[in-house]
Amino acid sequence: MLFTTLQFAVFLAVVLSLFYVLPKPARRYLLLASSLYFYMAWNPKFVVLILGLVTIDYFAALWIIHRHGWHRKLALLVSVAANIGLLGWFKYANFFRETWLNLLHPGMKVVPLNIILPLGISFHTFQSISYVIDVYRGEQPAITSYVDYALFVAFFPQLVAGPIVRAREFFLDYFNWTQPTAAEWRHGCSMILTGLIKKLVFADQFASAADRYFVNPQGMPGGIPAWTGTIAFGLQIFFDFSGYTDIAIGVALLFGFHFPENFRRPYLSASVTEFWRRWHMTLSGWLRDYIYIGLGGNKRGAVRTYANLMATMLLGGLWHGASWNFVIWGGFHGAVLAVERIVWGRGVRKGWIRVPLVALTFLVVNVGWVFFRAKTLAASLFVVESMFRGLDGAMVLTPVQLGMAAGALIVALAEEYAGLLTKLTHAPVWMRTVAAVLALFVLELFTASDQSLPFVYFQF
Amino acid sequence: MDLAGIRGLVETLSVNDRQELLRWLRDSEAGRRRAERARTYGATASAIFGFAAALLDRIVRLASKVGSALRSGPATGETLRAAIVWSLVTVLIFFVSESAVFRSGLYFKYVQPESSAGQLTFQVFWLQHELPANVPEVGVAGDSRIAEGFSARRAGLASGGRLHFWNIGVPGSSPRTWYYLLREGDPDRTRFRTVVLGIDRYEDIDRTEDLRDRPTDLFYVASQLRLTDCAEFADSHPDPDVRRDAWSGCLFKGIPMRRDLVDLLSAPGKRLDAARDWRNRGHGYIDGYDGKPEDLVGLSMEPTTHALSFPSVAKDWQRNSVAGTMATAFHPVPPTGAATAYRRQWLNKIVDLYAGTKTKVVLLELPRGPIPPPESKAPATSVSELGRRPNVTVLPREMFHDLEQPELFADGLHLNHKGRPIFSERLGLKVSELMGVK
Repeated sequence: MLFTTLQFAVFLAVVLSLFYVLPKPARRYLLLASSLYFYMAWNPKFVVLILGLVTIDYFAALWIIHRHGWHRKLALLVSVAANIGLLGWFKYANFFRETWLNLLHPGMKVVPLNIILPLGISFHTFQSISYVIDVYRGEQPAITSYVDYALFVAFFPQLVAGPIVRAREFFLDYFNWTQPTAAEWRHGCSMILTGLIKKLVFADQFASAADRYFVNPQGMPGGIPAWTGTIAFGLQIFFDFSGYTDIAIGVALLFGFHFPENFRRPYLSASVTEFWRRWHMTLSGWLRDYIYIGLGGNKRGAVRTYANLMATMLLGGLWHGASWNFVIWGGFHGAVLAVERIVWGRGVRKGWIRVPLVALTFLVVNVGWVFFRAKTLAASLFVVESMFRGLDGAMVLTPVQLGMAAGALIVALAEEYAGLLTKLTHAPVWMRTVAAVLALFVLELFTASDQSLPFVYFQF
Repeated sequence: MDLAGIRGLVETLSVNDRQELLRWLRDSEAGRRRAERARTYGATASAIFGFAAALLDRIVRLASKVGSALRSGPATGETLRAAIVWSLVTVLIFFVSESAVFRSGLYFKYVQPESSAGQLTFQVFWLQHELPANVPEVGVAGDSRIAEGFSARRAGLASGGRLHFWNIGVPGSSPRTWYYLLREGDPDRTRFRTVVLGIDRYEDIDRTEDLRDRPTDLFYVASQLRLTDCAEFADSHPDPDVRRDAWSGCLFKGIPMRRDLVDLLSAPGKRLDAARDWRNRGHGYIDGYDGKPEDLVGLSMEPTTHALSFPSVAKDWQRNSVAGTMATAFHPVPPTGAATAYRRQWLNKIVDLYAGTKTKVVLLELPRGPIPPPESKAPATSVSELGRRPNVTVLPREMFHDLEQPELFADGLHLNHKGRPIFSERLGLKVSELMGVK
């Protein structure tokens, strides 16, 4: 059930109406039942998997708080192993098997095992792991109600593609639930509308350009198609994923839950370090708290810091997908982060110097996207080589798409420096109404594709 | 008098006089600046500069209004209930605004004439706006085989000028779209004394494509659908995805018009001219059309293997079209009942439209192709049922079979400039005879 479908709109309207009609104690059951229904609408049998993990993690956390010594470690180990094990099996079994068999028999054509990747497994396993580790570290009390814990993992706005919500964030709202204020309701509605426009109008528009190039990069040689095709993908993935997140945050807000921000205009970053503070912020935070800091962070000397950075980003790359391309993408970002740290330290640059740095960062990030999008390593290398061989060939982006990119940049700058969109939600009622009606017209008339294209991050 | 003295005098004036004085000062200052600019830059440049300055002034004023509105901060004391009501009202306002654009006829006045929506929209427009003829009128509906192969002028001449024919054939259309065309084009059912429906075969032959789920029908009839049609129109599509699209397209007509709008925005002037021209002269263009000049002389089919032999001059589109028609005829898909259900529903609805009126409905089987196809084993259920209804006449199916010759066809489906007059005159005569006007 995609967020962009009529089916979801009906589902949301029904669940939301019931939520506010039912007495408070019944609402958690409604949310859990509707979340499981939402998940089962994609593939009913995988509900067993998610409930299995919920059960393991729920009891592991209770075990941790009630026991001492090695029992606690064992419970943590079981929980993490169950999550990583299932994630590993569903997501990485074919990748490791193929790599292993190719090491043993170079050039061998490996037939992949028929494994279906359960929707959202990368997200809900990370959410569960963080909960159990937080309980182990004493930073989070164990949840005693199974329904409450299951709802934390399966809550439908964030189940499929995040944002990765920490237990303390979720339960802070959950146990102190108050009805959303009028401003929050309006903000939620505007987030949903913005997310839909990002996805249906912008992402799907840029997807057509990116797909045209990446389906066969060798068919469009030259630097200009390589850069514009890759930038098209860079814009597609941003609008796609941040659009999804906006909808998720907006929907959660309508129910009175405050999800963390996941994107803060990342393409206005003046360094890759800053980019990771603005892009998929909940994943960056997760990787920082549970891997980078777990590995020692920056407390064990410069060399170890760079090694930790690289390891974290390699794992972050692998989290996105089971292929060497994602590993290289992660490694590329790890290397750039390390270089930036050596050259500039961690400071955020201010003033006009940001302008060339933002442009440079955008180009560097786009070089990384090549490995993210291209189907094979050979295709990635061809595209990167084309980028730096010379600026020849034709543009992949159409004038309309360039105009849309420019328009989006203006809106991003207005939001960054004047908080325009935020102010709009607090504007007088006539202005909000005009803006919302115009947004609905944009959505109706400028949706790029007649088909509902799935969100890019669903594959992760 | 010094400035202080003038100020003192102004203070003594009434409010109205002060405002009048202010206006006069503004106007005379603006006039003085205009004159100065005209002296410096010339009259044209001065006018442009003045216009730009006024525009800029308006923009600055508007921006400052927007800015002060944004600075005014949130409405205090607004409850969640009020915010929910606001959300619903906003959706309602959107729906009303959308209707004002797409249901008032405003947008469809300028729809691309050559598009699916445009062809049907303008047919309806002409029917609604052209004065009735002083002789009984006959509407001939069908798909591209009628649009290409029927000449209303020739049929009228064949009737001795006693009947006025309308070619309301729309390429790519089907009975579902004809129903909405006739309902809207002939709203009080008095325009036509006879409606002729040209259908491909009397048998209900199922095709690879289930006509019930033809997604393009929405584009044809988007301009004519009313809110009350949505349930019936959408539910006539068995496929859930197509049905959902039909629902959303019927409720929000901008959705099927997306591509048309992008096309309009890419060259608005050109589009407005084209739509205006087609609206005013399109019906005349259709009447003056003589048919395609190409033919298929030399086309033959080996009787046992059904291998086709084309004339060397045949173009690709002709070859593909003939091959497609013959493949459908010689390799029928297993019967599913879909064709019967579809025709039964929509042809009956057309007949229902004219039930209790003086209008007769005539069904005819169109010439089937440049080479006579084999007889179909499928039953002619829907046509037999229709034939039993009181105001329906089913013409003999063989009536046009002698036109199935390569020299009278431009491709596998459409009569050419030679076949068109023969078909039209014969139909004109037959309808005259049925109406007793000969």
